[in-house]
Amino acid sequence: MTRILMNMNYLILIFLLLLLGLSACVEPVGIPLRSGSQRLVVEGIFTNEAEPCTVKLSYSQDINALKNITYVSNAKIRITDDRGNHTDFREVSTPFPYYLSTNRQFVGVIGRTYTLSIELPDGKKFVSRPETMQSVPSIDNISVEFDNSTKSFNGNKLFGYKVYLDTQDPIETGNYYRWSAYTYAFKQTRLKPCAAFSPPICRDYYWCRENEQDIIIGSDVGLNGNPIKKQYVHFSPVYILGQSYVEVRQQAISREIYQYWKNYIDQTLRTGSIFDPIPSTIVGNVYNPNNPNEFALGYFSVASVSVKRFIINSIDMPNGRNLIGTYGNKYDSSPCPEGTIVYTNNPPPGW
Amino acid sequence: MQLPLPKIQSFYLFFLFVFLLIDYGYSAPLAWHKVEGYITDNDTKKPIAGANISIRAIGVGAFSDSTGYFVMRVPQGRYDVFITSVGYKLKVRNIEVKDKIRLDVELNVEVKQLEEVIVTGKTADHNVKEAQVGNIQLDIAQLQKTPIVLGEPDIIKTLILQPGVNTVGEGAGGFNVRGGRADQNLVLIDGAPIFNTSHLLGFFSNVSPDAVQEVNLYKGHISPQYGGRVSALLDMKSKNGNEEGMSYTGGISPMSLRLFADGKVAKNLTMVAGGRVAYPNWIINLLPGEFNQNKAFFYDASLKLNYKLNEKNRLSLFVYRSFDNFKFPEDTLYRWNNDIASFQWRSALSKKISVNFSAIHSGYKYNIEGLKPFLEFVTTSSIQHRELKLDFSYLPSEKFTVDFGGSTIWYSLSPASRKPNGGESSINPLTLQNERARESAFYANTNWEVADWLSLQVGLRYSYFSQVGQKDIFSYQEGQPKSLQTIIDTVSYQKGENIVNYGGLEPRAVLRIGLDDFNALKISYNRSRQYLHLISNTTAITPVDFWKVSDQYIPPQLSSQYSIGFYRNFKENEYEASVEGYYKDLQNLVEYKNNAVLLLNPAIETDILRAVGRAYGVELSIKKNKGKIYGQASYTYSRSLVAVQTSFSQEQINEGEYFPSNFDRPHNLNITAIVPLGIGWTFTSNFTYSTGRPATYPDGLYRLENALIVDFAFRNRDRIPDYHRLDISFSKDTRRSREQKRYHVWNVAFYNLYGRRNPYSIFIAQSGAVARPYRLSVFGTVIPSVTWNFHF
Repeated sequence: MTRILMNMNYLILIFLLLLLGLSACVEPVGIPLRSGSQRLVVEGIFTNEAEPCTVKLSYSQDINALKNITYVSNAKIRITDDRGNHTDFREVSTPFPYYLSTNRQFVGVIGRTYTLSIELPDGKKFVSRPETMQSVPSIDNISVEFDNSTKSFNGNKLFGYKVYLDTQDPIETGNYYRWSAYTYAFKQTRLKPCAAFSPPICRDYYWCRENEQDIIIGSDVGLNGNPIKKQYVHFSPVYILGQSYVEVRQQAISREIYQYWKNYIDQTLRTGSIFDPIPSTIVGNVYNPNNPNEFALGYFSVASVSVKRFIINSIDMPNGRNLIGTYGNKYDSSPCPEGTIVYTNNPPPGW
Repeated sequence: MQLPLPKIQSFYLFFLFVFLLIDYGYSAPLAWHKVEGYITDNDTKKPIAGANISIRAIGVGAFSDSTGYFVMRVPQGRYDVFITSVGYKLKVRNIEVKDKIRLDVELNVEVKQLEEVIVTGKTADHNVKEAQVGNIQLDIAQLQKTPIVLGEPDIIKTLILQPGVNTVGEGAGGFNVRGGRADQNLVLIDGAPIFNTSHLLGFFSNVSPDAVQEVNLYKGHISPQYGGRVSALLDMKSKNGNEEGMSYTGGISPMSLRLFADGKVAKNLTMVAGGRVAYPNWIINLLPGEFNQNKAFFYDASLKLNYKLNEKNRLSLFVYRSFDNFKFPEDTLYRWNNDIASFQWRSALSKKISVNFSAIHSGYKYNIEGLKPFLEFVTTSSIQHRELKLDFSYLPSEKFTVDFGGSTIWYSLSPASRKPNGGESSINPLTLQNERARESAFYANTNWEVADWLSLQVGLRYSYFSQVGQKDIFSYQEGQPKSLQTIIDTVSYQKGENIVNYGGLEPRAVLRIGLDDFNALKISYNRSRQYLHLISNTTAITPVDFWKVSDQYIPPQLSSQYSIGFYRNFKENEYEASVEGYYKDLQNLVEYKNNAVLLLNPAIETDILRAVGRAYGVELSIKKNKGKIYGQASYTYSRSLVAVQTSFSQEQINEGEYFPSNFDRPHNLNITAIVPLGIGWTFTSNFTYSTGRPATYPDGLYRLENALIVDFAFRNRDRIPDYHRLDISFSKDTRRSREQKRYHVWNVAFYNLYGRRNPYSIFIAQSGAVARPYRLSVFGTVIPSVTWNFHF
């Protein structure tokens, strides 16, 4: 018995050794770079909203070279519907070359089918497969939950609200969704010299538009005809206590576009584990009509949109002052990603 | 038919008779009775010649002849009969002689535990003398002394050190033999197939070596008795149970606890029962970052009963279960289990014909439980294999044997079924249609020793497969790629109605030409068909891959393997050397479209492509069987390539060219050295090197809206860096003699001794605007372990 006990001690010792030793590790590594042929990337979203439609054309890059995206100028672009109506596009050159539709009457109608055609400066043509505009259900309800754990900013905690929506999936199958959102977050500048006789702390307040960065999609596969409850759509940051203005957009997209983003998300979830599917190219719906083997990257998406706007008042947040403080946290003067800075105490424009 | 007794034996009997007469001549006249029977090898069922059968108490004895037959005359009474033969364990049988007695004895090979041999052949010169190509037999006793990760003795991980066997990566489930896929291996335990061979997502194999008596891997020539998979046969035989009282074996490793009981439970009934329970969570907790929230658990258990009905009939039952669960925190729970039952009835119809009847059940099932609020679900998938099999063995002479028989398998598969789990779940139930199929086969195989220098094994197998209803099958528009949009009709088949039939001949042959006593040349041809496919488009197979039977869109896989080998033993079989070369041609492989969706896909054929494959290689091996240092060194050069066949340009993979399989690793070097250090200590080391497996690296990068997307234009065009590793172990065996029953074996092992961070994968991780390649090493450092095994 004592012998066995001694052996057990020995075992424990080895287990401790093992504790120190065992580690799986993930580390950055260099891989051989290929300068493969550049492929055309198409980004076009056509909706039933009144704003002009935007199309961007660029080329894919070497894996390390994305900083200098090569945009395509001088392309001829047209969207045609199944009744022969069309719009052409004009080029805008700042901040980079892109294209805007010119026919203000040409707005998406549910049930109609649209095709994008592109002629590059060298005469090469690309067309999209015809895409039909699907109808979109309305957003029934929005709910928010305060969250101080999920997002971080340069390694620091970023406070904010998780935004969820509820909607009702229609009876027919094959509904695919994409959700996007933005927040006009209330911010303030750092301390600045004060005017004479004013309070000891001086700041300017401003609104900063922050778009949701994540691609959030959903489908009715598995839940057709049922309510979609508590679908996460946005992280709305809080820099200082005050009102935030949030807009959530629900798009009804096609199966192909859904699949495109689904494949993209799968790609970003890669952990190198055995559950990873074999990586492969993501094929969209734009191809060279003279050579069906040649696909463009990206897609032409036709979507109808429902929108819901609401205001979050973080002053109501329990314990908010303790967490964030009256004068906000230290990220207050971080640059505004969308460049929309409005120095005012009043609501942002359009609200 | 009675064979004439060889003269020497008659003489010996006569001599004994006279001797006994002298001894007992003046006692009361006793009735003398004939005791006769056959001595055979318990594993191979082959006769043992020259075994000594003796009743030591009265000094009566006999030797078996070349057919294993012996006869002796014994006075009435009750005696212990001692049966001994070189290389076999002593067996004692108690008999009561009142009348003529039949005594058939099966001897067990004596496992040479004190002078280990890593991979034992049946006889010292078997590799030269037997008409067998590409066969590996594993020594179970050595497994406990081999350095292996976390001290868990593991059959498959040990096989991976053999030439011609490799894996996709460390911790990957399954194994690949001569360029074949993991689902192309027929893995049998007591005749029953195991559909998933892994514990813990693939880190360990799920058959405890303690339950197993014999492990044979057939890489080249497979007996026509077996079929249904196109790559290799891993044939494991469970322990029969010793007939002399109860003994216990077991062990403790950092990962698990094992306990097995082995022995006689009643008259003519022996048993081996036990299992293994794992506690991997404390090791998972050591993993960095988010991995350590995972939870896992597994066990496996088996029971073998062996009943001797009478001298001619034996019944055996083997029951096995393996269970696993693995939980990703607050997200998904995976569970999978194998359930196996194999019943066998072996009967000697006459001295020359024996028959083995098997009834087999094997099932595999997994569950995925989604735990996300409002989206709770349970997805289940399962396969059932039920088989009846009849195998005859006819031995008209020592030089010529015939095996023949047939089998029928009923498959019943439930590819996937999803149900909401919980009242507030928005998930709709979905159940894909069940699949049913029947696979029958007949075979005959002859083994003919034409001359000392020439032997021939020729066999033929005919298999026939039918997929049967009830099932609805989609038909697709001609001249279009199959997709949900090109479905034009649905054909309904009634219950039991034939949907599609496949079948064909599978000839198999080996020719051995002995050049002299120590040199032989062997040539073989092996064709096989596979009607069952594992649907998996991940790099390594996973527990949640599912099986699919052939249907009208997925024809059976077909392989033809040609191999040639040269074998040479020298220094009186101290060294065994061999060179084997092979070429394999594979048809109708299952490949997947880019970004295929497989699980719960009601029209799976729309995401599947047909491919052809070819594999070829050369395996060089040299083995030293005894001496101060012994072991094995092998080098393999092998390739495995696939090409997708499709007439539609948008479905092409790598423009229709041949590309490397996931497990194409051309150069493989394995060296195992074993050094007995005295007083029971043994030092074992393994070195393994192989080319990195193929990988798909990015061909470009682009921005779409806010997302940064990596483009992968060509599948498996790159390779991860090479893999190499050195493991060592010291083991201490406390036995002083081979007969000692109570002893233990300590094994202190260091896996990956020089701590190489072997890449398991290179992948592109994206965060925000940055996409960067990362290397994942599973065992990135030296892993020490201690395992304690006991026998009492």
